Amino acid sequence: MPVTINTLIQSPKSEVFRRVLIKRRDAVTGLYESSWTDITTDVKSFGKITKQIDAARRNKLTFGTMKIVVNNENGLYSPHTSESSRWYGFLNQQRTLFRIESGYFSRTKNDYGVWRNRQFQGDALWDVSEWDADDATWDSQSTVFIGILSGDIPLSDNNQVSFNIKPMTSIFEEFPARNLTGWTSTGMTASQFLTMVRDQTSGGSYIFRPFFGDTTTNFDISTTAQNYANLNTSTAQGVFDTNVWAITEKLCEAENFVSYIASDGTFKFVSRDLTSSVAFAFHGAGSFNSLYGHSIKSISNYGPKITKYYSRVEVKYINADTTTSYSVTQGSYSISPASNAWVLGQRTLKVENLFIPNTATADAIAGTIFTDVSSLKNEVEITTSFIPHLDILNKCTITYDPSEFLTESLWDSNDWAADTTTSSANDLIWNNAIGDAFVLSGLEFKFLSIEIDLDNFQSKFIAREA
Amino acid sequence: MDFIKSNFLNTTTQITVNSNTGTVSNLFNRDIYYQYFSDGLNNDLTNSSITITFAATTSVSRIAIMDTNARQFNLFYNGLTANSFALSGAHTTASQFTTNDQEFLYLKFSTLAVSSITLDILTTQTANQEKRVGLFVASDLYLTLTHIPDASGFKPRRDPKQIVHKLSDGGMRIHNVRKKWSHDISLDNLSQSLTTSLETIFDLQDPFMFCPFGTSTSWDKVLYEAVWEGDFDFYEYSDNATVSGFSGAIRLRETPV
Repeated sequence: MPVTINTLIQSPKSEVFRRVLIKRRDAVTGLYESSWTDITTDVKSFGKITKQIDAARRNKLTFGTMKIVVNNENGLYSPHTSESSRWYGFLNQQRTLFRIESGYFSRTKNDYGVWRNRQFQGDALWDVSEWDADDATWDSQSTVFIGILSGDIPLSDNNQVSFNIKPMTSIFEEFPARNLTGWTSTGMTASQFLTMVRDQTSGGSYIFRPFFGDTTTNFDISTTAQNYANLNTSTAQGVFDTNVWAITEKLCEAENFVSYIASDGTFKFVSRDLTSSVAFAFHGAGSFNSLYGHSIKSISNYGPKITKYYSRVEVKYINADTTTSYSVTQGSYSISPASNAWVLGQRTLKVENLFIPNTATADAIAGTIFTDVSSLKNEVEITTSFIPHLDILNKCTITYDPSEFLTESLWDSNDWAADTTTSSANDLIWNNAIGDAFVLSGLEFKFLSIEIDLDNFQSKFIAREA
Repeated sequence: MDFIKSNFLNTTTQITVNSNTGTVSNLFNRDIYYQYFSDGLNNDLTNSSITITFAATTSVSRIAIMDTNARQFNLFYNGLTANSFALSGAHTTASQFTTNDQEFLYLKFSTLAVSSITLDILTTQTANQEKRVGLFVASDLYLTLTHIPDASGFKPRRDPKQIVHKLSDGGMRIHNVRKKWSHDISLDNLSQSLTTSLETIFDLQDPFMFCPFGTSTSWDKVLYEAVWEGDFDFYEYSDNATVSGFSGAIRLRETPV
């Protein structure tokens, strides 16, 4: 049976790995080193990787800050001015690139007794023909997070140092949009804007590219056609008082795109293409599955999320405060069990995005959001064993039945209280007793949040009913 | 029980091979799942040659070859085949093996000052296979603990760094990160000179290697880089007379790879 990520996830005993690598900047050129330095053996705590998507505004992806604690017994992680420091001869520790790799190991011995070490984070990342060669180990790709060191780095007498690793999006968040150069007077498309950002230079050197391997290959920017007239100057409305990432998020919403830094460190500006197929099936108590196995440790939260229900979506896309500046999509309000606005109350979700180019686009955005939020949907929070390869845009199913028993009903299945052989709403028919816990039978969900705890090799997911 | 120095082989620039330079770092990578192996030498008529050259003349008295498939091989120093090591306790006195059947060998010999060590593998256990070596250790002795503890005072363990998940139906799933050796050794009635020697090991800033029962045949394969955890308590007397000697415990823990 071929080894896959799923066979390793469901294996009762498996080998896992985690690595931390850094790239410093040269004190003379200011550029990053060409190779990564592995500091894993100095790491005392690896922290958690988190990524989440906004429940209502599905174009907005956010990544959490990771906290790594390292042993500084020998001063390796002291400031760059210290001769014992790994940064001695390099620039300040701030903005050091950190790469986190993690996944499963699979080891097999060939006929010569040589171990072949195959590491899994996702099958797709593997070059099978490459690992199969005797002198090869694996493709470099098992990265789960790339970020930059940012924030205070205090030393203390406990001889350990904490590093806050911010996601790569932070380099765009901290860059004022008005400092960009290369605007065109007639405006530009979203993809042109992001290409301008990618190619931004200062003194002849690229500003953003060094964080992405210093190559345009690591910028995946899909071409868009809509021209945005106000992307024409650094002092334009919606530009002068904000940052590069904020503009990118607004453009994503206007184009129905998503922008994020993929786990391999690639910048993505691509269509919000939620996968329709199920990427993973979670199974827990009361369920058996030979493909995915049993992975659920606990379900800590399940139920309808009233705080994420809205009966009305109001999108403001023109600055003037008049009715024509808004596109509104709302459900009918009637005193009826069929009207959610009556049953659950009226709640309005307000969205403001002045990059939306016209009424039709505003209507489409309001309609899409309304579809997502206008019905009361269940959310679930599950904790599982280590599942490193899922993405925020994936779909999953959950099968879980924690009840201990499934007794037969005491009631006669022949509908003893029925006046006819055909059952009706007034008949006394009881379901089988299944205890008081909830039951999920392959229900489909979309991820809202993914957290990978690398200290405990545990994953946590928050997902919303698809 | 040998306390020996950390592996003198610790950088790829020390190594010269006639095949597959891409895997030479595995010769000193203590993760046994990464091995040096030849590429295209899967013929018993073709030697695999590994030479370790030291920056300066180095005293060597212990060599460990781990996870090898070598059957006929020669081990010699300073580039001359005739410079074989005079082994003690091995099934051959000169380090020229013609019918080796061991995958793990711990070789002892009197201290020699050498500038290089060469391992020539001529044939393999199963004929015509690629030659492989999982780990090559060249070292020198700190101390041989001649005072063997009784069984109750010798606690070897292989501790896994392990994450145990209790799944929703009560079943267990285990993720192993690494397994590490540890030894707790209790000793009684030690002489003053031996406790002094042990304290020298305790005081070491650098890690050392520990091999409890090294031998060239049927070796238990236990050899690891260690640190001494905790205190040094060999100042306690074993009994109510000073002549009874000293008692204490050695707590050894394997270092990270």
